[in-house]
Amino acid sequence: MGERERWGTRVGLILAMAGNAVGLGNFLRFPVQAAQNGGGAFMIPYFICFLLLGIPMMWVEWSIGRYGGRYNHSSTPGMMHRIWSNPAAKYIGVLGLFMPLVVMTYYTYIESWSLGYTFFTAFGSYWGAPEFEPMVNFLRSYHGYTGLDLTAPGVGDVGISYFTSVLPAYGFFAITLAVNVWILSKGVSGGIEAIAKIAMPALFIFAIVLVVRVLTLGTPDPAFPANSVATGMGFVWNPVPEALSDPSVWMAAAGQVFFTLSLGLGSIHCYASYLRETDDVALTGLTTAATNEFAEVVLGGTLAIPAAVAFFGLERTQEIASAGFDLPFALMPTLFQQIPAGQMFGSLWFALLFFAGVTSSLAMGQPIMAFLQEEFGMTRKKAAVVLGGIIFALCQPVILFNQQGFLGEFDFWAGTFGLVVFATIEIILFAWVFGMDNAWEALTSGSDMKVPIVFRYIIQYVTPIMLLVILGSWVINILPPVLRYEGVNPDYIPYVRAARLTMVALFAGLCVAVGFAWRNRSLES
Amino acid sequence: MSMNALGWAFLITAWTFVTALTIWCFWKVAKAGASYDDK
Repeated sequence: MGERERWGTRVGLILAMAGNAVGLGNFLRFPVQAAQNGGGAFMIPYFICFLLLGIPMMWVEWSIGRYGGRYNHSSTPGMMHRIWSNPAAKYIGVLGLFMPLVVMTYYTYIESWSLGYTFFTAFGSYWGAPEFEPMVNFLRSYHGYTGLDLTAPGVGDVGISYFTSVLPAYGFFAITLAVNVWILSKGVSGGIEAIAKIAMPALFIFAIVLVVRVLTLGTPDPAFPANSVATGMGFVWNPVPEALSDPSVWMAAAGQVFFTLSLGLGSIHCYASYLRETDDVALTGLTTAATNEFAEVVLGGTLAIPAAVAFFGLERTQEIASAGFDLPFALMPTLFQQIPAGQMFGSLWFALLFFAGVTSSLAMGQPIMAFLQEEFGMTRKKAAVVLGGIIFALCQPVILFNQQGFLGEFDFWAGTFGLVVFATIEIILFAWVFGMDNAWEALTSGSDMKVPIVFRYIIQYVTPIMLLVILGSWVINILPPVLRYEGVNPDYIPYVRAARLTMVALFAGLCVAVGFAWRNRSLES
Repeated sequence: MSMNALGWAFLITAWTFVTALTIWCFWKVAKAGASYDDK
Protein backbone atom coordinates (compact mmCIF):
# COMPACT_ATOMS: atom_id res chain seq x y z
CA MET A 1 0.00 0.00 0.00
CA GLY A 2 1.34 3.44 -0.91
CA GLU A 3 1.63 6.45 1.36
CA ARG A 4 -1.61 7.31 3.14
CA GLU A 5 -3.70 10.09 1.61
CA ARG A 6 -3.87 13.38 3.56
CA TRP A 7 -5.81 16.61 3.41
CA GLY A 8 -3.90 19.46 1.77
CA THR A 9 -5.02 22.27 4.08
CA ARG A 10 -7.15 22.66 7.15
CA VAL A 11 -9.44 25.12 5.38
CA GLY A 12 -9.92 22.51 2.64
CA LEU A 13 -10.88 19.90 5.23
CA ILE A 14 -13.29 22.34 6.95
CA LEU A 15 -14.97 23.13 3.63
CA ALA A 16 -15.16 19.45 2.65
CA MET A 17 -16.57 18.50 6.05
CA ALA A 18 -19.01 21.45 6.00
CA GLY A 19 -19.97 20.38 2.47
CA ASN A 20 -20.77 16.96 3.88
CA ALA A 21 -23.13 18.52 6.41
CA VAL A 22 -24.68 21.33 4.35
CA GLY A 23 -27.37 19.84 2.16
CA LEU A 24 -31.05 19.93 1.33
CA GLY A 25 -31.88 19.68 5.04
CA ASN A 26 -30.39 23.10 5.76
CA PHE A 27 -32.47 24.91 3.18
CA LEU A 28 -35.69 22.92 3.35
CA ARG A 29 -36.04 20.74 6.42
CA PHE A 30 -34.94 23.33 8.99
CA PRO A 31 -37.43 26.13 8.22
CA VAL A 32 -40.28 23.62 7.99
CA GLN A 33 -39.32 22.05 11.32
CA ALA A 34 -39.00 25.47 12.97
CA ALA A 35 -42.33 26.68 11.64
CA GLN A 36 -44.16 23.50 12.65
CA ASN A 37 -42.62 23.28 16.14
CA GLY A 38 -43.08 26.59 17.84
CA GLY A 39 -41.36 29.09 15.52
CA GLY A 40 -38.72 31.10 17.38
CA ALA A 41 -39.36 29.00 20.51
CA PHE A 42 -38.01 26.00 18.54
CA MET A 43 -34.60 27.68 18.72
CA ILE A 44 -34.40 27.03 22.48
CA PRO A 45 -34.52 23.20 22.28
CA TYR A 46 -32.65 23.40 18.97
CA PHE A 47 -29.61 25.17 20.45
CA ILE A 48 -29.73 23.09 23.65
CA CYS A 49 -29.65 19.94 21.47
CA PHE A 50 -26.86 21.47 19.38
CA LEU A 51 -24.77 21.88 22.55
CA LEU A 52 -25.64 18.56 24.19
CA LEU A 53 -26.01 16.30 21.17
CA GLY A 54 -24.62 17.92 18.03
CA ILE A 55 -21.23 19.19 19.17
CA PRO A 56 -20.42 16.15 21.37
CA MET A 57 -21.34 13.67 18.61
CA MET A 58 -19.29 15.65 16.07
CA TRP A 59 -16.30 15.46 18.38
CA VAL A 60 -16.85 11.75 19.03
CA GLU A 61 -16.93 10.96 15.31
CA TRP A 62 -13.91 13.16 14.53
CA SER A 63 -11.99 11.51 17.37
CA ILE A 64 -12.88 7.97 16.31
CA GLY A 65 -11.94 8.85 12.73
CA ARG A 66 -8.52 10.27 13.57
CA TYR A 67 -7.87 7.37 15.97
CA GLY A 68 -8.75 4.85 13.26
CA GLY A 69 -6.54 6.67 10.76
CA ARG A 70 -3.61 6.03 13.07
CA TYR A 71 -4.03 2.33 12.18
CA ASN A 72 -4.67 3.04 8.49
CA HIS A 73 -8.43 2.53 8.80
CA SER A 74 -10.66 4.99 6.94
CA SER A 75 -13.89 3.06 7.27
CA THR A 76 -15.79 2.21 10.40
CA PRO A 77 -15.37 -1.62 10.54
CA GLY A 78 -11.67 -1.12 11.24
CA MET A 79 -12.31 1.83 13.55
CA MET A 80 -14.85 -0.05 15.66
CA HIS A 81 -12.41 -2.99 15.80
CA ARG A 82 -9.76 -0.63 17.22
CA ILE A 83 -11.94 0.84 19.95
CA TRP A 84 -13.49 -2.53 20.93
CA SER A 85 -11.36 -5.64 20.46
CA ASN A 86 -14.32 -7.95 20.05
CA PRO A 87 -14.98 -9.93 16.84
CA ALA A 88 -18.47 -8.38 16.69
CA ALA A 89 -17.12 -4.83 16.58
CA LYS A 90 -16.20 -4.90 12.90
CA TYR A 91 -19.74 -6.01 12.01
CA ILE A 92 -21.17 -3.07 13.95
CA GLY A 93 -18.87 -0.94 11.84
CA VAL A 94 -20.56 -2.37 8.73
CA LEU A 95 -23.35 0.13 9.48
CA GLY A 96 -20.87 2.87 8.56
CA LEU A 97 -20.52 1.32 5.09
CA PHE A 98 -24.10 0.23 4.58
CA MET A 99 -25.75 3.55 5.32
CA PRO A 100 -23.56 5.82 3.19
CA LEU A 101 -23.89 3.32 0.34
CA VAL A 102 -27.69 3.18 0.49
CA VAL A 103 -28.09 6.90 1.11
CA MET A 104 -25.67 7.75 -1.70
CA THR A 105 -27.81 5.64 -4.03
CA TYR A 106 -30.93 7.75 -3.72
CA TYR A 107 -29.17 10.97 -2.81
CA THR A 108 -27.27 10.94 -6.11
CA TYR A 109 -30.60 10.53 -7.85
CA ILE A 110 -32.14 13.50 -6.01
CA GLU A 111 -28.96 15.46 -6.70
CA SER A 112 -29.45 14.74 -10.40
CA TRP A 113 -32.93 16.34 -10.22
CA SER A 114 -31.20 19.57 -9.12
CA LEU A 115 -28.87 19.35 -12.10
CA GLY A 116 -31.78 18.69 -14.44
CA TYR A 117 -33.83 21.55 -13.00
CA THR A 118 -30.86 23.92 -13.29
CA PHE A 119 -31.07 23.38 -17.05
CA PHE A 120 -34.89 23.25 -17.24
CA THR A 121 -35.00 26.60 -15.43
CA ALA A 122 -32.21 28.22 -17.43
CA PHE A 123 -33.90 27.19 -20.70
CA GLY A 124 -37.43 27.89 -19.45
CA SER A 125 -38.67 24.32 -20.10
CA TYR A 126 -41.62 24.69 -17.74
CA TRP A 127 -42.12 28.43 -18.22
CA GLY A 128 -45.67 29.60 -18.83
CA ALA A 129 -47.49 27.63 -16.11
CA PRO A 130 -46.93 29.47 -12.83
CA GLU A 131 -49.27 27.25 -10.82
CA PHE A 132 -48.36 24.58 -8.30
CA GLU A 133 -50.31 21.61 -9.73
CA PRO A 134 -48.76 21.72 -13.23
CA MET A 135 -45.33 21.96 -11.60
CA VAL A 136 -46.08 18.84 -9.51
CA ASN A 137 -47.16 17.09 -12.71
CA PHE A 138 -43.98 18.28 -14.46
CA LEU A 139 -41.91 16.79 -11.62
CA ARG A 140 -43.89 13.55 -11.60
CA SER A 141 -43.60 13.18 -15.38
CA TYR A 142 -39.84 13.70 -15.02
CA HIS A 143 -39.85 10.81 -12.55
CA GLY A 144 -41.72 8.66 -15.06
CA TYR A 145 -44.94 8.46 -13.02
CA THR A 146 -47.86 6.83 -14.75
CA GLY A 147 -51.54 7.71 -14.41
CA LEU A 148 -51.01 11.47 -14.29
CA ASP A 149 -53.91 13.68 -15.31
CA LEU A 150 -52.13 15.82 -17.88
CA THR A 151 -55.23 16.88 -19.79
CA ALA A 152 -57.32 18.52 -17.05
CA PRO A 153 -57.67 22.25 -17.78
CA GLY A 154 -55.49 24.38 -15.51
CA VAL A 155 -53.96 21.36 -13.82
CA GLY A 156 -52.33 19.43 -16.63
CA ASP A 157 -53.25 21.04 -19.93
CA VAL A 158 -51.48 24.37 -19.46
CA GLY A 159 -49.38 24.62 -22.60
CA ILE A 160 -46.11 23.14 -21.34
CA SER A 161 -44.45 19.94 -22.50
CA TYR A 162 -44.32 17.12 -19.99
CA PHE A 163 -41.83 14.27 -20.07
CA THR A 164 -43.05 11.14 -21.78
CA SER A 165 -40.43 8.80 -20.32
CA VAL A 166 -37.99 8.52 -17.48
CA LEU A 167 -35.07 8.73 -19.94
CA PRO A 168 -34.12 12.38 -19.23
CA ALA A 169 -34.03 11.56 -15.50
CA TYR A 170 -31.76 8.62 -16.34
CA GLY A 171 -29.52 10.90 -18.39
CA PHE A 172 -29.07 13.47 -15.63
CA PHE A 173 -28.55 10.68 -13.10
CA ALA A 174 -25.81 9.14 -15.25
CA ILE A 175 -24.06 12.52 -15.58
CA THR A 176 -24.32 13.19 -11.84
CA LEU A 177 -22.98 9.76 -10.95
CA ALA A 178 -20.13 10.15 -13.46
CA VAL A 179 -19.21 13.52 -11.90
CA ASN A 180 -19.15 11.93 -8.43
CA VAL A 181 -17.07 8.96 -9.59
CA TRP A 182 -14.64 11.22 -11.42
CA ILE A 183 -14.10 13.48 -8.39
CA LEU A 184 -13.71 10.50 -6.06
CA SER A 185 -11.16 8.93 -8.41
CA LYS A 186 -9.03 12.08 -8.03
CA GLY A 187 -8.55 11.35 -4.34
CA VAL A 188 -9.11 13.13 -1.05
CA SER A 189 -6.93 16.17 -1.62
CA GLY A 190 -6.95 16.33 -5.42
CA GLY A 191 -10.66 15.57 -5.79
CA ILE A 192 -12.90 16.12 -2.76
CA GLU A 193 -10.90 18.98 -1.24
CA ALA A 194 -10.38 20.74 -4.57
CA ILE A 195 -14.11 20.60 -5.36
CA ALA A 196 -15.10 21.70 -1.85
CA LYS A 197 -12.88 24.78 -2.19
CA ILE A 198 -14.90 25.81 -5.26
CA ALA A 199 -18.37 24.47 -4.46
CA MET A 200 -18.71 25.71 -0.88
CA PRO A 201 -17.84 29.38 -1.49
CA ALA A 202 -20.07 29.25 -4.61
CA LEU A 203 -22.90 27.76 -2.53
CA PHE A 204 -22.62 30.51 0.09
CA ILE A 205 -22.48 33.26 -2.56
CA PHE A 206 -25.55 31.83 -4.34
CA ALA A 207 -27.40 31.52 -1.03
CA ILE A 208 -26.59 35.10 0.01
CA VAL A 209 -27.72 36.45 -3.40
CA LEU A 210 -30.99 34.50 -3.04
CA VAL A 211 -31.51 35.66 0.56
CA VAL A 212 -31.17 39.29 -0.55
CA ARG A 213 -33.65 38.62 -3.37
CA VAL A 214 -36.16 36.99 -0.99
CA LEU A 215 -35.88 39.73 1.61
CA THR A 216 -36.61 42.35 -1.07
CA LEU A 217 -39.70 40.54 -2.37
CA GLY A 218 -41.93 42.51 0.02
CA THR A 219 -45.61 41.93 -0.79
CA PRO A 220 -45.67 40.62 -4.37
CA ASP A 221 -49.43 41.01 -4.80
CA PRO A 222 -50.84 44.16 -3.09
CA ALA A 223 -54.33 42.62 -3.39
CA PHE A 224 -53.19 40.07 -0.75
CA PRO A 225 -51.27 42.14 1.82
CA ALA A 226 -51.04 39.17 4.21
CA ASN A 227 -48.95 37.28 1.66
CA SER A 228 -45.58 38.85 2.34
CA VAL A 229 -42.01 38.01 3.26
CA ALA A 230 -42.65 39.53 6.70
CA THR A 231 -45.48 37.03 7.24
CA GLY A 232 -43.17 34.23 6.10
CA MET A 233 -40.43 35.31 8.51
CA GLY A 234 -43.04 35.58 11.25
CA PHE A 235 -44.19 32.03 10.40
CA VAL A 236 -40.64 30.73 10.89
CA TRP A 237 -39.59 32.91 13.85
CA ASN A 238 -42.56 34.14 15.96
CA PRO A 239 -42.35 32.04 19.14
CA VAL A 240 -45.15 29.88 20.47
CA PRO A 241 -44.06 29.51 24.13
CA GLU A 242 -46.41 26.57 24.81
CA ALA A 243 -44.32 24.51 22.37
CA LEU A 244 -41.54 24.27 24.95
CA SER A 245 -43.61 22.00 27.18
CA ASP A 246 -44.35 19.63 24.27
CA PRO A 247 -41.93 16.63 24.21
CA SER A 248 -42.47 16.18 20.47
CA VAL A 249 -40.94 19.63 19.87
CA TRP A 250 -37.82 18.58 21.76
CA MET A 251 -37.67 15.35 19.75
CA ALA A 252 -38.01 17.34 16.53
CA ALA A 253 -35.19 19.67 17.59
CA ALA A 254 -32.92 16.75 18.49
CA GLY A 255 -33.72 15.06 15.18
CA GLN A 256 -33.01 18.21 13.18
CA VAL A 257 -29.64 18.79 14.88
CA PHE A 258 -28.74 15.16 14.34
CA PHE A 259 -29.56 15.05 10.64
CA THR A 260 -28.23 18.46 9.71
CA LEU A 261 -24.77 17.56 11.00
CA SER A 262 -24.77 14.22 9.07
CA LEU A 263 -24.08 12.30 12.26
CA GLY A 264 -24.14 8.52 12.45
CA LEU A 265 -23.37 8.04 8.76
CA GLY A 266 -19.69 7.07 8.72
CA SER A 267 -18.60 10.00 6.53
CA ILE A 268 -17.19 12.19 9.32
CA HIS A 269 -15.09 9.27 10.59
CA CYS A 270 -13.74 8.68 7.12
CA TYR A 271 -12.77 12.31 6.44
CA ALA A 272 -11.19 12.66 9.90
CA SER A 273 -9.11 9.52 9.35
CA TYR A 274 -6.96 11.38 6.83
CA LEU A 275 -5.63 13.61 9.63
CA ARG A 276 -2.30 13.05 11.29
CA GLU A 277 -2.15 11.94 14.92
CA THR A 278 -1.02 15.41 16.00
CA ASP A 279 -3.62 17.35 14.00
CA ASP A 280 -6.43 19.13 15.83
CA VAL A 281 -9.94 17.72 15.75
CA ALA A 282 -11.71 19.77 18.42
CA LEU A 283 -11.50 23.23 16.82
CA THR A 284 -11.81 21.94 13.25
CA GLY A 285 -14.87 19.87 14.16
CA LEU A 286 -16.49 22.80 15.94
CA THR A 287 -15.78 25.06 12.95
CA THR A 288 -17.55 22.71 10.54
CA ALA A 289 -20.53 22.47 12.90
CA ALA A 290 -20.69 26.27 13.19
CA THR A 291 -20.45 26.70 9.40
CA ASN A 292 -23.32 24.28 8.96
CA GLU A 293 -25.40 26.15 11.55
CA PHE A 294 -24.76 29.45 9.75
CA ALA A 295 -25.98 27.91 6.48
CA GLU A 296 -29.03 26.52 8.27
CA VAL A 297 -30.18 29.18 10.74
CA VAL A 298 -29.18 32.35 8.90
CA LEU A 299 -29.52 31.32 5.25
CA GLY A 300 -31.85 28.31 5.32
CA GLY A 301 -34.44 30.00 7.52
CA THR A 302 -34.67 32.93 5.12
CA LEU A 303 -35.06 31.25 1.74
CA ALA A 304 -37.77 28.81 0.68
CA ILE A 305 -40.47 29.29 3.33
CA PRO A 306 -40.62 33.11 3.52
CA ALA A 307 -40.58 33.27 -0.29
CA ALA A 308 -43.33 30.67 -0.55
CA VAL A 309 -45.52 32.48 1.98
CA ALA A 310 -45.06 35.74 0.06
CA PHE A 311 -46.49 34.15 -3.09
CA PHE A 312 -48.86 31.46 -1.88
CA GLY A 313 -49.94 32.55 1.57
CA LEU A 314 -49.52 30.84 4.90
CA GLU A 315 -52.08 28.06 4.64
CA ARG A 316 -51.00 26.85 1.22
CA THR A 317 -47.34 26.91 2.24
CA GLN A 318 -48.04 24.87 5.37
CA GLU A 319 -49.90 22.35 3.26
CA ILE A 320 -47.13 22.08 0.67
CA ALA A 321 -44.25 22.20 3.16
CA SER A 322 -45.25 18.83 4.59
CA ALA A 323 -45.04 17.26 1.13
CA GLY A 324 -41.26 16.71 1.16
CA PHE A 325 -39.47 17.20 -2.13
CA ASP A 326 -42.40 18.97 -3.77
CA LEU A 327 -41.18 22.14 -2.08
CA PRO A 328 -37.89 22.65 -3.93
CA PHE A 329 -38.85 21.00 -7.19
CA ALA A 330 -42.47 22.06 -7.62
CA LEU A 331 -43.13 25.08 -5.44
CA MET A 332 -39.96 27.01 -6.18
CA PRO A 333 -40.32 26.71 -9.99
CA THR A 334 -43.83 28.12 -9.59
CA LEU A 335 -42.39 31.03 -7.66
CA PHE A 336 -39.49 31.72 -10.02
CA GLN A 337 -41.95 32.20 -12.87
CA GLN A 338 -43.47 35.12 -11.00
CA ILE A 339 -40.40 37.23 -10.25
CA PRO A 340 -38.26 39.36 -12.58
CA ALA A 341 -35.11 37.52 -13.76
CA GLY A 342 -36.73 34.36 -12.44
CA GLN A 343 -34.79 32.10 -14.80
CA MET A 344 -31.49 33.41 -13.45
CA PHE A 345 -32.50 33.21 -9.77
CA GLY A 346 -34.12 29.82 -10.34
CA SER A 347 -30.98 28.43 -11.96
CA LEU A 348 -28.95 29.76 -9.02
CA TRP A 349 -31.31 28.00 -6.58
CA PHE A 350 -31.00 24.62 -8.28
CA ALA A 351 -27.25 25.04 -8.80
CA LEU A 352 -27.02 25.76 -5.07
CA LEU A 353 -28.89 22.54 -4.29
CA PHE A 354 -26.68 20.64 -6.76
CA PHE A 355 -23.45 21.90 -5.14
CA ALA A 356 -24.86 21.15 -1.68
CA GLY A 357 -25.75 17.65 -2.95
CA VAL A 358 -22.41 16.88 -4.62
CA THR A 359 -20.32 17.83 -1.58
CA SER A 360 -22.57 15.57 0.53
CA SER A 361 -22.63 12.57 -1.83
CA LEU A 362 -18.83 12.63 -2.15
CA ALA A 363 -18.66 12.24 1.63
CA MET A 364 -20.96 9.23 1.37
CA GLY A 365 -18.86 7.63 -1.36
CA GLN A 366 -15.48 8.03 0.29
CA PRO A 367 -15.97 5.44 3.11
CA ILE A 368 -16.72 2.76 0.49
CA MET A 369 -13.79 3.91 -1.64
CA ALA A 370 -11.51 3.70 1.39
CA PHE A 371 -12.82 0.24 2.31
CA LEU A 372 -12.19 -1.09 -1.19
CA GLN A 373 -8.73 0.45 -1.36
CA GLU A 374 -7.57 -0.54 2.12
CA GLU A 375 -9.12 -3.98 2.49
CA PHE A 376 -9.05 -5.21 -1.10
CA GLY A 377 -5.96 -3.38 -2.36
CA MET A 378 -7.81 -1.64 -5.20
CA THR A 379 -6.38 1.45 -6.85
CA ARG A 380 -8.32 4.70 -6.42
CA LYS A 381 -9.59 4.61 -9.98
CA LYS A 382 -10.69 0.99 -9.77
CA ALA A 383 -12.43 1.58 -6.43
CA ALA A 384 -14.25 4.59 -7.92
CA VAL A 385 -15.42 2.55 -10.90
CA VAL A 386 -16.59 -0.32 -8.65
CA LEU A 387 -18.45 2.15 -6.41
CA GLY A 388 -20.04 3.77 -9.45
CA GLY A 389 -21.14 0.35 -10.71
CA ILE A 390 -22.70 -0.58 -7.36
CA ILE A 391 -24.55 2.74 -7.10
CA PHE A 392 -25.74 2.48 -10.70
CA ALA A 393 -27.09 -1.04 -10.12
CA LEU A 394 -28.73 -0.17 -6.79
CA CYS A 395 -30.32 2.96 -8.24
CA GLN A 396 -32.22 1.09 -10.95
CA PRO A 397 -35.16 0.14 -8.71
CA VAL A 398 -35.02 3.58 -7.08
CA ILE A 399 -35.52 5.24 -10.47
CA LEU A 400 -37.97 2.72 -11.90
CA PHE A 401 -40.06 2.20 -8.75
CA ASN A 402 -39.85 5.64 -7.15
CA GLN A 403 -43.63 5.95 -7.42
CA GLN A 404 -44.02 2.65 -5.56
CA GLY A 405 -41.95 3.85 -2.60
CA PHE A 406 -38.45 2.42 -3.16
CA LEU A 407 -36.73 5.75 -2.50
CA GLY A 408 -38.80 6.47 0.60
CA GLU A 409 -38.03 3.05 2.04
CA PHE A 410 -34.25 3.48 1.54
CA ASP A 411 -34.50 6.94 3.09
CA PHE A 412 -36.36 5.74 6.17
CA TRP A 413 -34.18 2.75 7.08
CA ALA A 414 -30.72 3.91 6.02
CA GLY A 415 -31.08 7.69 5.92
CA THR A 416 -33.09 8.17 9.09
CA PHE A 417 -33.50 5.26 11.49
CA GLY A 418 -30.09 3.65 10.83
CA LEU A 419 -28.24 6.86 11.64
CA VAL A 420 -29.70 7.06 15.13
CA VAL A 421 -28.94 3.37 15.73
CA PHE A 422 -25.31 3.69 14.66
CA ALA A 423 -24.73 6.94 16.60
CA THR A 424 -26.17 5.41 19.78
CA ILE A 425 -23.96 2.33 19.50
CA GLU A 426 -20.81 4.24 18.63
CA ILE A 427 -21.02 6.74 21.50
CA ILE A 428 -21.60 3.92 23.98
CA LEU A 429 -18.61 2.01 22.59
CA PHE A 430 -16.46 5.15 22.59
CA ALA A 431 -17.33 6.52 26.02
CA TRP A 432 -17.91 3.29 27.91
CA VAL A 433 -16.04 0.44 26.20
CA PHE A 434 -13.04 2.31 24.82
CA GLY A 435 -13.19 4.20 28.11
CA MET A 436 -13.71 7.88 28.87
CA ASP A 437 -10.04 8.48 29.70
CA ASN A 438 -8.97 7.15 26.30
CA ALA A 439 -11.88 8.94 24.62
CA TRP A 440 -10.96 12.29 26.18
CA GLU A 441 -7.33 11.80 25.15
CA ALA A 442 -8.46 10.96 21.60
CA LEU A 443 -10.45 14.20 21.47
CA THR A 444 -8.07 16.64 23.13
CA SER A 445 -4.64 15.54 21.91
CA GLY A 446 -3.24 18.08 19.46
CA SER A 447 -6.20 20.36 20.09
CA ASP A 448 -6.02 24.01 19.09
CA MET A 449 -8.73 24.97 21.59
CA LYS A 450 -9.35 24.14 25.20
CA VAL A 451 -12.29 21.77 25.24
CA PRO A 452 -14.41 22.64 28.31
CA ILE A 453 -14.19 19.80 30.84
CA VAL A 454 -17.98 19.73 31.11
CA PHE A 455 -18.06 18.04 27.69
CA ARG A 456 -16.31 15.02 29.19
CA TYR A 457 -19.41 14.41 31.29
CA ILE A 458 -21.78 15.38 28.49
CA ILE A 459 -20.14 12.80 26.18
CA GLN A 460 -20.17 10.14 28.87
CA TYR A 461 -23.68 10.62 30.24
CA VAL A 462 -25.89 13.24 28.64
CA THR A 463 -25.47 12.51 24.91
CA PRO A 464 -25.86 8.70 25.23
CA ILE A 465 -29.00 9.18 27.33
CA MET A 466 -30.43 11.65 24.82
CA LEU A 467 -29.74 9.24 21.96
CA LEU A 468 -31.26 6.32 23.86
CA VAL A 469 -34.39 8.39 24.51
CA ILE A 470 -34.64 9.34 20.81
CA LEU A 471 -34.07 5.73 19.72
CA GLY A 472 -36.56 4.41 22.28
CA SER A 473 -39.19 6.89 21.23
CA TRP A 474 -38.74 5.88 17.60
CA VAL A 475 -38.88 2.18 18.35
CA ILE A 476 -42.10 2.66 20.30
CA ASN A 477 -43.88 5.28 18.20
CA ILE A 478 -42.57 5.19 14.66
CA LEU A 479 -41.40 1.65 13.90
CA PRO A 480 -44.61 -0.34 14.55
CA PRO A 481 -46.75 1.45 11.91
CA VAL A 482 -43.87 1.29 9.43
CA LEU A 483 -43.47 -2.44 9.98
CA ARG A 484 -47.24 -2.88 9.54
CA TYR A 485 -47.08 -0.99 6.18
CA GLU A 486 -49.55 1.57 7.51
CA GLY A 487 -50.25 4.29 4.97
CA VAL A 488 -48.72 2.24 2.12
CA ASN A 489 -50.85 1.71 -0.98
CA PRO A 490 -51.64 -2.08 -0.90
CA ASP A 491 -50.52 -2.38 -4.53
CA TYR A 492 -47.10 -1.08 -3.55
CA ILE A 493 -46.46 -3.39 -0.57
CA PRO A 494 -44.52 -5.95 -2.69
CA TYR A 495 -42.20 -3.13 -3.83
CA VAL A 496 -41.69 -1.94 -0.27
CA ARG A 497 -40.88 -5.52 0.75
CA ALA A 498 -38.44 -5.79 -2.17
CA ALA A 499 -36.74 -2.57 -1.03
CA ARG A 500 -36.34 -4.00 2.48
CA LEU A 501 -35.00 -7.30 1.14
CA THR A 502 -32.53 -5.42 -1.05
CA MET A 503 -31.21 -3.62 2.03
CA VAL A 504 -30.99 -6.85 4.05
CA ALA A 505 -29.08 -8.53 1.19
CA LEU A 506 -26.76 -5.54 0.89
CA PHE A 507 -26.03 -5.50 4.62
CA ALA A 508 -25.35 -9.26 4.57
CA GLY A 509 -23.08 -8.84 1.55
CA LEU A 510 -21.10 -6.12 3.30
CA CYS A 511 -20.75 -8.32 6.40
CA VAL A 512 -19.36 -11.13 4.21
CA ALA A 513 -16.95 -8.65 2.58
CA VAL A 514 -15.75 -7.44 5.98
CA GLY A 515 -15.36 -11.03 7.24
CA PHE A 516 -13.39 -11.90 4.10
CA ALA A 517 -11.15 -8.84 4.51
CA TRP A 518 -10.42 -9.70 8.13
CA ARG A 519 -9.57 -13.29 7.25
CA ASN A 520 -7.08 -11.98 4.69
CA ARG A 521 -5.64 -9.62 7.29
CA SER A 522 -5.09 -12.44 9.77
CA LEU A 523 -3.52 -14.62 7.06
CA GLU A 524 -1.19 -11.77 6.12
CA SER A 525 -0.19 -11.13 9.73
CA MET B 1 -48.95 37.21 11.32
CA SER B 2 -46.06 39.53 10.62
CA MET B 3 -42.88 39.35 12.65
CA ASN B 4 -43.62 40.37 16.24
CA ALA B 5 -41.16 41.75 18.78
CA LEU B 6 -40.44 38.33 20.25
CA GLY B 7 -39.91 36.91 16.76
CA TRP B 8 -37.33 39.60 16.09
CA ALA B 9 -35.71 38.94 19.46
CA PHE B 10 -35.37 35.21 18.70
CA LEU B 11 -34.13 35.86 15.17
CA ILE B 12 -31.52 38.40 16.26
CA THR B 13 -30.31 36.22 19.16
CA ALA B 14 -30.06 33.08 17.00
CA TRP B 15 -28.35 34.84 14.09
CA THR B 16 -25.92 36.61 16.45
CA PHE B 17 -25.04 33.38 18.28
CA VAL B 18 -24.45 31.39 15.10
CA THR B 19 -22.56 34.16 13.30
CA ALA B 20 -20.39 34.92 16.35
CA LEU B 21 -19.60 31.22 16.82
CA THR B 22 -18.65 30.85 13.15
CA ILE B 23 -16.45 33.95 13.17
CA TRP B 24 -14.79 32.92 16.45
CA CYS B 25 -14.03 29.45 15.06
CA PHE B 26 -12.50 30.75 11.83
CA TRP B 27 -10.53 33.36 13.79
CA LYS B 28 -9.10 30.59 16.02
CA VAL B 29 -8.33 28.47 12.95
CA ALA B 30 -6.55 31.41 11.28
CA LYS B 31 -4.58 32.05 14.46
CA ALA B 32 -3.57 28.41 14.76
CA GLY B 33 -2.63 28.20 11.07
CA ALA B 34 -4.86 27.62 8.08
CA SER B 35 -2.66 24.73 7.03
CA TYR B 36 -1.84 21.85 9.35
CA ASP B 37 1.77 22.25 8.30
CA ASP B 38 1.80 25.74 9.88
CA LYS B 39 1.66 24.25 13.36
